[in-house]
Amino acid sequence: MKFLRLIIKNVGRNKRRTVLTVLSVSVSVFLLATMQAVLASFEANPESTGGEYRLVVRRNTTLADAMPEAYGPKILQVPGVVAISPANWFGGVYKEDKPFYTFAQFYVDPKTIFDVHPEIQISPQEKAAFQQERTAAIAGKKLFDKYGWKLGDVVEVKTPYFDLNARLNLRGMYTGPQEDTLFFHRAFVEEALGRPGLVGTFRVRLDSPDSAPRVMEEVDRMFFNSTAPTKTETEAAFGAMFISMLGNVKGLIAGVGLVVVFTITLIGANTMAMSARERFTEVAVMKALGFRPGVVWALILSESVLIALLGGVVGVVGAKVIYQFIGLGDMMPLFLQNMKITAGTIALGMGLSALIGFVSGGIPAWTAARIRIVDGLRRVA
Amino acid sequence: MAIPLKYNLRNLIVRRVNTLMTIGTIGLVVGVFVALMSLANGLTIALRATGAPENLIILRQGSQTEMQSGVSKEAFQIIQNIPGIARDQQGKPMASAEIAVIVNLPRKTGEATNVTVRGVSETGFALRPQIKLVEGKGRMFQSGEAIVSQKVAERFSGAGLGDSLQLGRRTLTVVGIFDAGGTAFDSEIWAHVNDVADAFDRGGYSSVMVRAENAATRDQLAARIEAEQRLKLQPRSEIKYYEEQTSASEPIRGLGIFVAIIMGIGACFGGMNTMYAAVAYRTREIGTLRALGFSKLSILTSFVIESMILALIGGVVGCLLALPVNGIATGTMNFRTFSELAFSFRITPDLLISALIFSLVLGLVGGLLPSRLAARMPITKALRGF
Repeated sequence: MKFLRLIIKNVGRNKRRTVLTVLSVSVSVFLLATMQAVLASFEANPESTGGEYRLVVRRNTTLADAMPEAYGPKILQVPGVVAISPANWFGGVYKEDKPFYTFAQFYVDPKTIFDVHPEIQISPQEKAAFQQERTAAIAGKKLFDKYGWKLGDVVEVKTPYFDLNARLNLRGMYTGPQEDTLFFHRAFVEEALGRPGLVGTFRVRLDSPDSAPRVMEEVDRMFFNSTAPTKTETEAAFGAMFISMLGNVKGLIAGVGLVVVFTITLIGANTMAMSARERFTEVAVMKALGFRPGVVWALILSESVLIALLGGVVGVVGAKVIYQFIGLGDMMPLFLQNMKITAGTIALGMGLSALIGFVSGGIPAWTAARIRIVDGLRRVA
Repeated sequence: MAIPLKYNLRNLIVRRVNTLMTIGTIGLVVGVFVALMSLANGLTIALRATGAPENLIILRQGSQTEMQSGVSKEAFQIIQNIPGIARDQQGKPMASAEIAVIVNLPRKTGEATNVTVRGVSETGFALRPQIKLVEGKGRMFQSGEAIVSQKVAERFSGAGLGDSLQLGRRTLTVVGIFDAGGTAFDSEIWAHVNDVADAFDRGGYSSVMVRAENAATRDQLAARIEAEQRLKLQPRSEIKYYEEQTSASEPIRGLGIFVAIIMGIGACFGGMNTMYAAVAYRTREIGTLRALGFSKLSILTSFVIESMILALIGGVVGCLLALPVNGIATGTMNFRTFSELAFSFRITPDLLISALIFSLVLGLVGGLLPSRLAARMPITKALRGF
């Protein structure tokens, strides 16, 4: 501890260099935090939404195919199933076909949806208003904030899948873990299309997560020999499917992340090497005064770690401020809108910056510690 | 008078550890930039290469893609009789009614993804001469048979020659493997249109592809189809149809630019450090140069040039580092069609040039402030050293 002052003095000796190094570390840590947040948003935690109590039933071919409505009551009879609700992807265009205007839209059964998704929080009045009116819709708070909607507004979504222009009256705002979806009446779309009676997915609520494997198997077996066999999976597996379709995004991001870390280490090492070289004479003096090589090594290393950590703090705080407090994350395309800088991301950023400090300071510190006193004293910087 | 370039080069060699590290840093930044952009490039190139200038793809009004569209059998009859459609050797109109559906297939790596299955007739091949048979049977496949693209055969399990594919309620045997010359069809499975209709219970078609007599009369043909009141269909040129899908590459391009800018800023700070140190080491030299009569401007230019040389070497290293990714096959979800699009990383000369410009900008930005410091140094103070 008695050397702390010395380390801090050394950090502040060449202020311009320290600031530049801190900044270069911080932008890189910022980038890492961003990528980590993107990865984390892919794996949005299903536990918090009660996802472990839910299954998703879909056609075994692709999501583009649908199942007959009549499957619903049959699935509900399977032991372990406590509620079921049909949900169809509408995929309409709101205003313009741009990422900013893209959000999830489902046409659902206005009653059973709340049984299957108890995490959707809405006032009883708004819920009743939604359930009564055929053209009513509810949307998450995030959508209200993003587009400046108010209760009673008319929201128009056009779908390219079939010739339908849905004009919906906003009757409620819900809160919950996922506040970025618009729900409206299944009956409204079904009528407009001449009642095809088709369901894209059934959302199933279980009595206990332990029933999941058995129910999954029983449901799929029930429809195995029909014209529309099903595939039942947990909500988490259903969500993971979309990410895996993107291709090896994780690999890509991890690869870029690795290169970023390597690059900052190189920048850090370069800086530390410069400052260590400038100090050879000084180090020789310290050693002549009786400082042990280990102490000299630790001093230079601590300096490097301190600088890297400073950079880490700036980077992580910057990411937190930009993505969460300014809310730039909301500008991102649909699947990135839940971007959050979590405690895990912060820990990772700090851990990495400490590691970078260690690695980049290690070699210069070692060289400095090993310097012979005579050489160091003779050396002209 | 300008300071000789040799002075800068020798300086870079004298401080080789610093030089190498800075080159390494800029090289990595440029390398990541090139690799990510070549990914976006590959996607765009695959989609741009698809489509012949004479071809029109006819979809339902308002539909953006084949997957969303529907064309009835009656409409296909009407289309075939519209004047202006090219005829084949037998005198039949070159119009192909097709069904495009997506199926979920497991990749060889284990995860499943969506693949386009296209139901075609023989005319479908005539309209796309780029489809070349690599193995097995070609366009003469029969009911119960399917052909797959080379990329699908390579990337998906159970899609090789002789394998059985479970498509909807039918099981089709893979009897041929084709190569579509790097176009979007390289991501598809083809079977007879009647088989696909049966397997997926479709009463109509997804789209109709027609060929105009020549590229010049294409738009007239399109106008005639659009004017046909009984159809309510929208023709668009095949080239434009795929061009519109290139927006699928935007997220990757965005990621590439974002990462490059942020890392570039980091590298700039690192580069500034190097250049400040270079200036500090050479204070006396700078003083000498000034005393010899070199102007402030020459000193400034000299240091900026040195920084830019450093960055340019880094840029070249980065391009070389990224070169091995060229040609690697990969695939991603095309969110327009909701199915897999197979493509390869493509490093183009344009991309390399923009990478080198990027590295020069890094050198310029990183070198400007330190060079200004060098230029403004009072001669007497500089000569005395530090």
